[in-house]
Amino acid sequence: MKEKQELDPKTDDETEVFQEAVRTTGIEQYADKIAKLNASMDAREAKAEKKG
Amino acid sequence: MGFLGGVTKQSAGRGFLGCITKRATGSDCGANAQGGLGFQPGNTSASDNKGQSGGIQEPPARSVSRDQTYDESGVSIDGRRLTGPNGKSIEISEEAHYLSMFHESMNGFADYRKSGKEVRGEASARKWDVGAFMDDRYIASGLERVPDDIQGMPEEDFEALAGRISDTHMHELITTYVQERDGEIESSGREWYGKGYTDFLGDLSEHLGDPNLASLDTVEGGMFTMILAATSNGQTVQSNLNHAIEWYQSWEESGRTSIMNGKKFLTGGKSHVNINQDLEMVDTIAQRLGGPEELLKLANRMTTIKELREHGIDEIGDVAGDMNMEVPGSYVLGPKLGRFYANLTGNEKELTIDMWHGRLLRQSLGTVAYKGDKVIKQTERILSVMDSNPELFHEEPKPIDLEGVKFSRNEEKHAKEMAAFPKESDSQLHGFTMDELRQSADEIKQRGEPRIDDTLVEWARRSSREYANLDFGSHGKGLSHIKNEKRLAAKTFSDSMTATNDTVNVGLRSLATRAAEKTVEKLHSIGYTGETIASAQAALWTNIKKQWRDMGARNADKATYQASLDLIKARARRKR
Repeated sequence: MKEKQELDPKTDDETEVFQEAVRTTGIEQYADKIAKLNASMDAREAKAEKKG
Repeated sequence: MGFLGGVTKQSAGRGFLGCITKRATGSDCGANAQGGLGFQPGNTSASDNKGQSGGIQEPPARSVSRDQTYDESGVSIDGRRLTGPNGKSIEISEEAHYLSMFHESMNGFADYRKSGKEVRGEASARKWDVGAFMDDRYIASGLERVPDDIQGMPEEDFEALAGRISDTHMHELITTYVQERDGEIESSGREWYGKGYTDFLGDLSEHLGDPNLASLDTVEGGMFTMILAATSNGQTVQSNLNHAIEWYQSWEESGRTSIMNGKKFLTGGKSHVNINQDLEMVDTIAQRLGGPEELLKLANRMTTIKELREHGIDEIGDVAGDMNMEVPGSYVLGPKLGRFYANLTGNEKELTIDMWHGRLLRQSLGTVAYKGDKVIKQTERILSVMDSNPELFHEEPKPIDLEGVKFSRNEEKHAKEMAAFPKESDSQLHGFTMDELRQSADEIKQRGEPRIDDTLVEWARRSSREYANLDFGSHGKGLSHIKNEKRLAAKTFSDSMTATNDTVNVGLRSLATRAAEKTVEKLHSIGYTGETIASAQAALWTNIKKQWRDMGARNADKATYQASLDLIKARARRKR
């Protein structure tokens, strides 16, 4: 509602900012990024283990 | 000022900015034992206080039940001097001491509350009442309010401010440790994480007949903790635990954290929206990674901000500090959930900032209730709503018009109740005149902040209460014209006017984190070498809730997870 929006402006609270950012990205798309990160971490650890 | 009660106004006339400048040159602002520049790691400001008798009583030694134990017989507070288990002491700044001593002003707070017309008849205080009192007391000390936008503050000033905040933390912590030692309080809360949490998990495991839940090394223990963190947003401890148990059991059956019996968490309210999203995010990431084991593995392993950025994970926002700084993988779950989970699972280097820590921080900034420009903007906006809607803001009583509203059978029943409800008037003025409200609005705008005895604040309270009473839930469809946009505007206005600030932005997080680091350094310097950021935060969290509860604030619950579980068990026994 117009009045509510005008009286309740966007917050810079860190949790709200994060949640809004994830909503903007999309939870599925965000999870994709995390999956890539995880795979990269796995690969890095495997490489480190190989090196001994 | 009259409401200061017995507290000595020690730092009158000393502006904040002047204070931190002076501190940098060796004044008494911030942590500065022996007149130095504040606490320096490795070169402690602590002085050897062994052998001094001033203020030291001789209580029996008592150690806390954790790996690190202390002989606390010599721990004492003597004015601004705090002495720890190793006999060394630090001296906190005058400002920090003054800010820490607000609980000495209890009588002043009672008088302050009485100055509010509406508040007088209420048995308990609102959190805003406590917050506004804190802010007024802060300003009365001569300190300048610190705005939320602190990014860009000179490093020297930032460090000095963090030092002052850590000094107040130190005073609170040593006070509560002494109270715990002397049996005046049951627990300081410093064992909330670590042993406190694993003991609780063991007990919960027994209660639920779920042996795998007893350890953080199992998927069950990890996922329960994840769900507990995800359902904590804006909840009391008891409510958090109740929800977590329910959702954990549902997850055990279905393998999903976002849907229970086809439904999401709860609906309505900002915190529930956030919880729904967190549960869905946890669920989606777990599915995408190949199961909960993988999610927990990710959450528990270490990464760097640089690595997160390289993968385009910018949703975590700005993070203060070195890009190569190691952070737990749980960072990807958000600033609150990720850090709370990290603390619960044994990473005590991270600082969980919940609404109570936000308030605690703001007690040292003068912004617990203060809204700044927002209030002026909102005051102007509500005046404009009043002026442009004379049909709602009229001074003559006018019954609510239910004509033309179509009711279903159930709604008809409620319509009868409704007809009896608004006996006096449908006016949004709530007994005031437009002139009175305009005058009050002008005063607030001029002052830049509302006060407890402002007419507009009282109007806001009445408006909010009326809106709450007009909630007819599913039966209210036919009454939607009553609960309309203009009323919602009034409700939103009143909520924002009389709510505490309990949020933190990126700049305030870095300030709180720096203050926490300094606090731990100071604790270590006086012999509390086992304390961590998490244990200090937990004790401060326990303490601020107690203080606000003592001041009459509603919903400042005193529960712990263990106490909440004990209640659940007692109820279960009664049922049997």
